[in-house]
Amino acid sequence: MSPSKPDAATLDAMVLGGVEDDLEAWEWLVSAPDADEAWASASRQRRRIDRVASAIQGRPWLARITSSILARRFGTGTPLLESIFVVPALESALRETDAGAEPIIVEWGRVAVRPVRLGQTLGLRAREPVADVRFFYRWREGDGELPGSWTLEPGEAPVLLLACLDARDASTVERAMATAASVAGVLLVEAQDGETDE
Amino acid sequence: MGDPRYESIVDWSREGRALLVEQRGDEIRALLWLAFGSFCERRALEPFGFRGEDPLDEAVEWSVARFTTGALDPERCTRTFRIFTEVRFWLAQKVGAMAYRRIMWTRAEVQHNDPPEPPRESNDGPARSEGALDEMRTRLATTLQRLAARTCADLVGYWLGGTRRLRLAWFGWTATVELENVSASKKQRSFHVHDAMFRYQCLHQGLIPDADGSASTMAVRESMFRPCENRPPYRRPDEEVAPLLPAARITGPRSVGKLRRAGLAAILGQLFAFFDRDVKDEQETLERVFLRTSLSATTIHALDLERRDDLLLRVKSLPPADSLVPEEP
Repeated sequence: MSPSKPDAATLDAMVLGGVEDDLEAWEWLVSAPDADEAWASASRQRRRIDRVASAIQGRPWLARITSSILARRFGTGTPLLESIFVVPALESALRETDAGAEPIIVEWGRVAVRPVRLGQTLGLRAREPVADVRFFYRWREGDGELPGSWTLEPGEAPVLLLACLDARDASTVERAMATAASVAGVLLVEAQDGETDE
Repeated sequence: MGDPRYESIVDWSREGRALLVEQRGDEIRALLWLAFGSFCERRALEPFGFRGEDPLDEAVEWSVARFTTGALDPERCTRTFRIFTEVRFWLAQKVGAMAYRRIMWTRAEVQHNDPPEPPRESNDGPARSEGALDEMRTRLATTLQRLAARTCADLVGYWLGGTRRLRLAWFGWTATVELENVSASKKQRSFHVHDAMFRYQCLHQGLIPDADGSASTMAVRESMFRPCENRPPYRRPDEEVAPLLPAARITGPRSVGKLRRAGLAAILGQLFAFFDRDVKDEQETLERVFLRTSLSATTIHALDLERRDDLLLRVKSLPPADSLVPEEP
């Protein structure tokens, strides 16, 4: 019988070099046709977690806002909203203002991470015009409404860009987080040599 | 080697852990939220006993409480803040490792998520017995697990890519698109693939002793077979390795590299010697083919041994992989 595919958390533990007690998971990895893709995907996921985690440590302000975003992943948490976890009309796209760069889809209730070179400019916008989505920024020196884009200067990173749904009257991040139905975040971290978006 | 992206947790006493949660609770909770939110849908946590209004919040708070007051053996834990991003660890803490596997297995069965097994291709070379393949799968898995534990995730990925054709033929998949790591050039990718396949064979053939050995063997082990950062060159920095080697052999900044190359050349010689032996059975034939496909002139370049003409000549004189498979009667 073929070994069964390990769950996502087990694959993550394998990426971290663990899972000594589950040889079947490794047997699946060497013999399943989609194992390469699953491993690549798990590695990307771990890279994202490591980057966000690295930024969170030593920054309680970022920790608190990250928890707040992730805690409202499914809106109010009612079963009805949970069933519409993927809401295509509300997908936002992060598009580099530099020519030729591919946009990155940002999911509601999640924190995406993007390594940015100093001087590079990034914007956050809705892929389709949605009147009730507003954009903010937050970094160690303060917060406010995002003026279209953010150019990363030395010493600024990490900077969190936020999309807030239904936060019409908010003028600060704190107020927006208190009133928004859903929030998505993009964490800008300073790119190291050779680092990519992967 | 600790992961430099994560802070160490030094005091593992209950008091020390409680103090850490008191002082760094916001960060700890954010890391747990980040991890649980990445791997678990809320309903998927119900079999683990998190059945309240918000199972994710419950799981996060349970993990914080477990860390604060639970009996955790630091020898068996990740001793950095990374532990808070390890979902499998916390769920296994909640229900036990066996129960964790049972829950996940049951869920996979219920969801019928596994795609149907692809048909085996009939024209992929001589027929091989299921028993030999099952044994080979277990052997490959055992070594791959060791490669992951002793190097890093990217090398496992490169090994998967480099051995894909052979595994495809053995395990009988329908060919699918090969993945490419776009972050590396084709040449660099090829070097990493051959490096990964070489390191895999070193472990697979038992050529890396866990301790002791000559200075050159130690240089190889401490550089290339210890957990390393998941980025090129996929080995520990020489300055970390130097203090671990016999002091008399470290005479300058290039000593570690010289010792490592000497050790790699010796190991290559051991791998080449496998081809001078007779094979006894089908299992050994599979192993021989597998080893042959893992060695090429690119291996020599990937290991920074391209000046060793003797090694290049030797690898080029190895029999082709096809010739190692007996003709079907």
